[in-house]
Amino acid sequence: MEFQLSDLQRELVEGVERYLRDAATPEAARASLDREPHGYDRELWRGLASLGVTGLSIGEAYGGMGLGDLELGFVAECAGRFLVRAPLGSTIWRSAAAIELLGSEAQKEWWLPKIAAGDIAVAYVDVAAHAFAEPDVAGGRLTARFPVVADAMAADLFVVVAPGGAWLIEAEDEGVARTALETFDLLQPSADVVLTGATAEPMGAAAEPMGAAAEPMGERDVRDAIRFLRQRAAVLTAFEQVGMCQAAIDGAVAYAKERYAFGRAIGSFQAVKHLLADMYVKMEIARSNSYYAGWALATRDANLTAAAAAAHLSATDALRHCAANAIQVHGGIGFTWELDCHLRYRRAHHLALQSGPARLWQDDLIDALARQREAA
Amino acid sequence: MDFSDNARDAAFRAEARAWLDANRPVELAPQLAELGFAPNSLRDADLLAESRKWQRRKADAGWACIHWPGAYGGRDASPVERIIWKQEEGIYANLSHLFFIGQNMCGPTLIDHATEEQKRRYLPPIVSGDEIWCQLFSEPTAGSDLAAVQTRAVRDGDDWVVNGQKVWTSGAHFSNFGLLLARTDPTVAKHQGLTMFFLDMASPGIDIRPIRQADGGAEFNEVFFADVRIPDSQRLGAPGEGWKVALGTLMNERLSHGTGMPTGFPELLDLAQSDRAGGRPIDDPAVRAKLASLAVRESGLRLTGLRLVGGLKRGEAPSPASSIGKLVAGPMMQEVAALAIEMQGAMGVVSEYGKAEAAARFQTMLLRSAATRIEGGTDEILRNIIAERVLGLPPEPRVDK
Repeated sequence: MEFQLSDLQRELVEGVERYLRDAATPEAARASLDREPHGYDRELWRGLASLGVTGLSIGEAYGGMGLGDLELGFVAECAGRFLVRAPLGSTIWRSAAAIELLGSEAQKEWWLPKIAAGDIAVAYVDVAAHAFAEPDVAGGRLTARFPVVADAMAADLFVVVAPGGAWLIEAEDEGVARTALETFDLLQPSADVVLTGATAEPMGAAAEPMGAAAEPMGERDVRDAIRFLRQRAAVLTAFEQVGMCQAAIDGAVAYAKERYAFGRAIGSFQAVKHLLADMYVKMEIARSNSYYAGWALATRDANLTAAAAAAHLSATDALRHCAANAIQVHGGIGFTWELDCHLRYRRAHHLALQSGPARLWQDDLIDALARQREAA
Repeated sequence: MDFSDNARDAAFRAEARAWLDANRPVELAPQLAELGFAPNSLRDADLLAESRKWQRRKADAGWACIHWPGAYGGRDASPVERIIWKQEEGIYANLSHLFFIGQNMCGPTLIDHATEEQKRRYLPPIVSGDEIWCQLFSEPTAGSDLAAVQTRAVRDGDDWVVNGQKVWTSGAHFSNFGLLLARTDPTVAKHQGLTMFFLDMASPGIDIRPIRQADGGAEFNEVFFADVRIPDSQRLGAPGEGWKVALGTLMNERLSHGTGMPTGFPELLDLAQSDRAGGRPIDDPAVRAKLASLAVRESGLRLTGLRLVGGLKRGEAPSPASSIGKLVAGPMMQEVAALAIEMQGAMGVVSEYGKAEAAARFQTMLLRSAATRIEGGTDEILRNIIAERVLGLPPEPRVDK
């Protein structure tokens, strides 16, 4: 057992942190928001690519670094501490892994190097997780409506996974129509996506086998893969949420030390101290659940289902709590547009929904624990 | 970050398991499994006698206080080995409860502050369970504000003479020795006038009276001192340094809680899966949501304990972050007990052993857990510690410092 980061992991995180400290400043996030309210910071995206972040867990054969999901988790935690206006969640936590797991050899060779290089953004639609209507498929064309998809306006490619199949759809296709939505998360915008006979390249079960060794995946395998991808995304997001908790706490603690009221720093009042202590406790509980889930993900441990659900539920709860109470510690100034508190408060509630409803994760967790308990 | 055993861990686990398989008192297993949350007595056996037997057997084989130095009866085990041992010992760790204060608080304080000769005299009997220790800290007017203790120790030749009263002293009635925080200089600021001692609980002038608790039990005592003499050689740390010594003692206590307070969640999950008049509670979505909320705290607590203990280097002092353990576990026990009793329906009010469900463990837990949130640092004090010592927030302006 080992509960510290390895030297390699620490160096990796420190490198990303150094870069983000300069590149992902609040000013840069706000400039990007003004410039492209429905897009992302492309310079930041290319910067992350040149550091290797976008290709971190993509195989070396496809232009990535081939590192594990735990390393990616620590990077996600680091990213969460900054205001990163880039499609990490949709492109890296989700789509890249989906293509690597479900795509044909040709699809992987074509798309993964572009993702690793930071040349494209990919939006991800998990139809079942959001209870969207199943797409109609006819002659390699997809007709569907996905009423809210993160990073959709700026995406170059869509990965769509559904109980009935998995597809790649290029954003330029004339069957793709996107309408930007006003949503409360300003760091990661969303759009309404309508597909009308859009050209869809099947992945997975329906993909043609490339070469003798590659068997087409069975339907069951595709469903398992989609479920695994959902767990993986939830775990990486949990790391990001923990990083955001840390940023919320750091900001609130710094403010509580410098803001004076009644003749003393407000951080010396127990009412404020206890608020901050509770934020810290929730974050640490979430961090421990997340680190364990990251390990379970990287090692494909049998406990992954329960671990991913625990990480998702506790990190979601911790971030909502920390983001709301960071505003509370700041008082009136915390409710101004100029401060970053609201950016985290907004995003906390977006991330809470992004991996599907809490009820599904609660069911996964309790069912897995009940099975374990029965087995023991 | 690796939550699985490496080859060295696996070898240690196998060694521990083999020894446990051959030596544990399996005949006590059913009773020990029932205890769990409040191990104060056994149904059909003398807890103190059985605890001593088990402790002695472990000590003889080098499996007691394994993280202590070998010279004092320990095993020089690493923090990770300490975790593995605890996992493997399982329900038999309920037989260590009576030694908790000696092994987790008094012992480490002796290791830090006693003379070499004293360590060799007093530590091995703590390891073997032959001598039990208690901690004489709280007083009627000094609980959370521990530095307000008024029990006086006055120097008289080679001795100190102690007068005053302690309260909430667990196990004083069966302890051989006690760790005593007393005021030796009332003329200086309160944190500066304290000194730590240890003393024989059989010393003349000590009067021990049990406290009848809100849950009906009597683990705690009032201890009165009338001209009790303590040799100066039994002083731990310099005169006036008692507060610093006490903080070390308390930090060790918090760490030992951090490594695993039972929250009752696994047993609650069993109850939720039982067939009841209205169906299985676990099939009710409202119950599932509550279970999930408890489950993530249970795993988070356990994993945080692993990170806090396993992340220590050998011999390293515990971090103030270990205050998390009891702060989360205390309120959680109340929640677990309340939910369990609700699942039991009207019969949930019955706390009589043999008639109440699940050996009355949830009823016992409901009542006892109210104290968990107070003893060894209230929830409020633990939040102050996290805020000031982990987050670095300024202390409250004080009129007493």
